[in-house]
Amino acid sequence: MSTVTGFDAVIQYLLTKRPDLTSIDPDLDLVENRILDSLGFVNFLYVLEEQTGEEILMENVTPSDFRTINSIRKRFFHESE
Amino acid sequence: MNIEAKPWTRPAAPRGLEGWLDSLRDLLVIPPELRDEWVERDAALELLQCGPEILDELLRAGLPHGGTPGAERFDRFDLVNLALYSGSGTSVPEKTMRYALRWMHADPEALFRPQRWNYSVALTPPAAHGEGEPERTDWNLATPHPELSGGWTESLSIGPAGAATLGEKDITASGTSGLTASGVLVTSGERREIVSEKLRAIVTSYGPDRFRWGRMPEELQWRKDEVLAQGYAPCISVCLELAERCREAGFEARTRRGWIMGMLDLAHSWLEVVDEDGLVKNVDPAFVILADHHAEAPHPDIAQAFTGSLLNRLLPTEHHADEPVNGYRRGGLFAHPRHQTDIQLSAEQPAPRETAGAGNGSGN
Repeated sequence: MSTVTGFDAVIQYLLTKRPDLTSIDPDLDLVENRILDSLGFVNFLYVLEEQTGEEILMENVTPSDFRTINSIRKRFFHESE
Repeated sequence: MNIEAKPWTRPAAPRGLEGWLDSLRDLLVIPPELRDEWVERDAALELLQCGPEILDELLRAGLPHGGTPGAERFDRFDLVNLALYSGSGTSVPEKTMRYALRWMHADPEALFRPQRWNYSVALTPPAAHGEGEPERTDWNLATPHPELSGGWTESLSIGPAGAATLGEKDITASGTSGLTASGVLVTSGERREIVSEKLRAIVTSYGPDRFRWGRMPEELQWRKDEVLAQGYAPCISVCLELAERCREAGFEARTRRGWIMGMLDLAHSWLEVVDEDGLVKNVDPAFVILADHHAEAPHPDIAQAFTGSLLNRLLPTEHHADEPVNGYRRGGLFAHPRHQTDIQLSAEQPAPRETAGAGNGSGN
């Protein structure tokens, strides 16, 4: 079982979607590069909620919030890029 | 109406193979002329989360597919509906639905107050059409009318500037490579209840005790008799049927198409009917079914709110249920454009204000 938590756990989860990658450029488009897709999107939301400890309401987010690692960090971990 | 599917009730505990086979038995199979079998086996397994053994059992039991053994291809709508009524609890469609319907936990009073939204829609040509020959294109996007349920439009910009025209029913443009609309909209609602017992009997006759909701192409939903006979009541089909039955019973009624707010990109349809007290009542049988079958811990009064009240969760347009909210024509031939719809709750919410209130007529 993974002991990684928080933002690092999110990165680790995204890497499981593309086992051919060892890292993800923080500005890489996650959708265009098939790291996030419609099938995996809700699972990813549950992972984000678990790691941020906050409920994510669909009415408060837009697709651009999930576009890159940097946008995820800024929107959900309240960290600057 | 002879309904082919058995009534579905949410299982108390996750089901295994039997649940999948029961769901397959009552599956509304997308008909050949609307099928698109492009989902490959691996993607199907990821969507269903059932494991290869159960998928193979489903194939042996007749799950429709193309491709070859071991490399089957499936229709996406078939898979979604199969999963929704499997009772597995772990498939992507079931989890997605539980997530998307969280707003149904809240006290229905939250559905009646003004809410401000940042609204943005961008239409681009269908993928198959590429970017060429914009001079032969015609575009339309349903004009938002939040005032129909007591809201208002704070701002609305359309584009391309100089080429797009704002009409009562549609925003239109010709000879352009796309169409955009953005602005700030305030939706509102109002608690209303059905007064006429006769009307109540009609509008509650397609409930979760007999029908299930399903995902399917709009073109199939328009064939309401065929869809309802199979025990499925998606929003368009059920509203078209109810409007007809209300009018036959002497009530002024129409269907209305619009968007569900705060669900990223979901068009929706509901019924508007003038009750014997002269007030328009909005009826949303699809929401009633979704709350009962798929929402996690829905508020006990939520179904009542969906049977008469105007809701701030819906953005009305002047389109009827069987009119798509957007369209693209090249050389006169219709196609569904690609669209990106972002409707996000604004950080600033509107201060209470006196409004003219929602309309009393059905606006037929």
